[in-house]
Amino acid sequence: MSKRTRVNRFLKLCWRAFGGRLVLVLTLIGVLVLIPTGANGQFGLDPCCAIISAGLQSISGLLKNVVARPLSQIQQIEQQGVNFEQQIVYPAQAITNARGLAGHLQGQFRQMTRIYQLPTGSATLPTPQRLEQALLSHSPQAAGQVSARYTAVYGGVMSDQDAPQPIRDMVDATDAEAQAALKKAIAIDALADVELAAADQINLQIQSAAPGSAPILEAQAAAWNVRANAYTQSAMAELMRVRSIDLANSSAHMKLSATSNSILRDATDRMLGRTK
Amino acid sequence: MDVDDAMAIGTLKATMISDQASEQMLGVADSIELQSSGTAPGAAPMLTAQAQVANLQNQAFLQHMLAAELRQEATRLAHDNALVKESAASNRILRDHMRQILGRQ
Repeated sequence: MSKRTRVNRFLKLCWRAFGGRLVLVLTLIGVLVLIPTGANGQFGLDPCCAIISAGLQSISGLLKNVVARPLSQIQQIEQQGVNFEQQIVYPAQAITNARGLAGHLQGQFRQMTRIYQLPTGSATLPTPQRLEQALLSHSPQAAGQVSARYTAVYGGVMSDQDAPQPIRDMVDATDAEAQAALKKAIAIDALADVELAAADQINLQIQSAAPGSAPILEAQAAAWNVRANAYTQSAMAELMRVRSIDLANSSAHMKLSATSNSILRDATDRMLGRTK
Repeated sequence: MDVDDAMAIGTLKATMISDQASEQMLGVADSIELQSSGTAPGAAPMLTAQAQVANLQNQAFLQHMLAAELRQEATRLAHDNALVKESAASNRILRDHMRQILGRQ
């Protein structure tokens, strides 16, 4: 039996077994496939969508009540903080006024500085004039010229034939201290000029500074103040040395006078003894 | 003598300048105080910085005064010292004259 024959026999047997029922089943399947079914469009909500919608509404309500309200309150508090800073802590007018004051004061400071720069030299003779020029120069370079010009005006230490050694020592020490004080005066003048320039610079920065950076400028000015105080102390120490030397000289004069009196007394005694 | 006079006059001029500057500085202090009484807390650091700057200026002016006083005191010391030198020189001259006189005799 051929293969084709066997297939034909199988189909015949199937037709006998199922017959019209097979046709009916196939027809139903075709109808089910071909007939269009309803689709859920925009306005047609599934029960599933309704559940989702309800869930979403619940979440939305939750967000509105639990999250949005506190957020709104936070925003209000932040706004109040901003308003407080703008109107109470950092009002623009107050900052503008403070900057304006800095500008106004700078004018006054510069005027005072110009007053201090007025010439005060008063010597009339050439040699004292040269010394005075060096002393009022405000220039540290001029300190090197002080010794020669000082000696030109006040003279040097006398020779050992003209005065006893204690007096020569005293004169030399006094000259040294006087010259040191004069040099210190030049240095202090120069430092004061530097401080004035620094103050002017900081003042200029204040006029364009933000309120937040003002404490930095304040710290800079305070550091300069500390430095200035140190320089002032240094000048005070020099002044005290000058006065101490002056006092020591007065004391030395008394001692020398006592010694001279003693010598004179001895000499007088000898003379009187000889005469006797 | 001339340099003594110069230093004395110079110091007198410095005191006049200082008087004027100190009056202005008092005005500056008043201005800062007045401003601070009506300012906002946020602007106060600017006024504090301004006061620090004024303090620095004041220190510098004080140093100028101190320098003038140093010059004056040093000049006085030098003057007294010069008198000692002058005295020694006078003694030498006197001694030389005495020798000449005694030599002649």
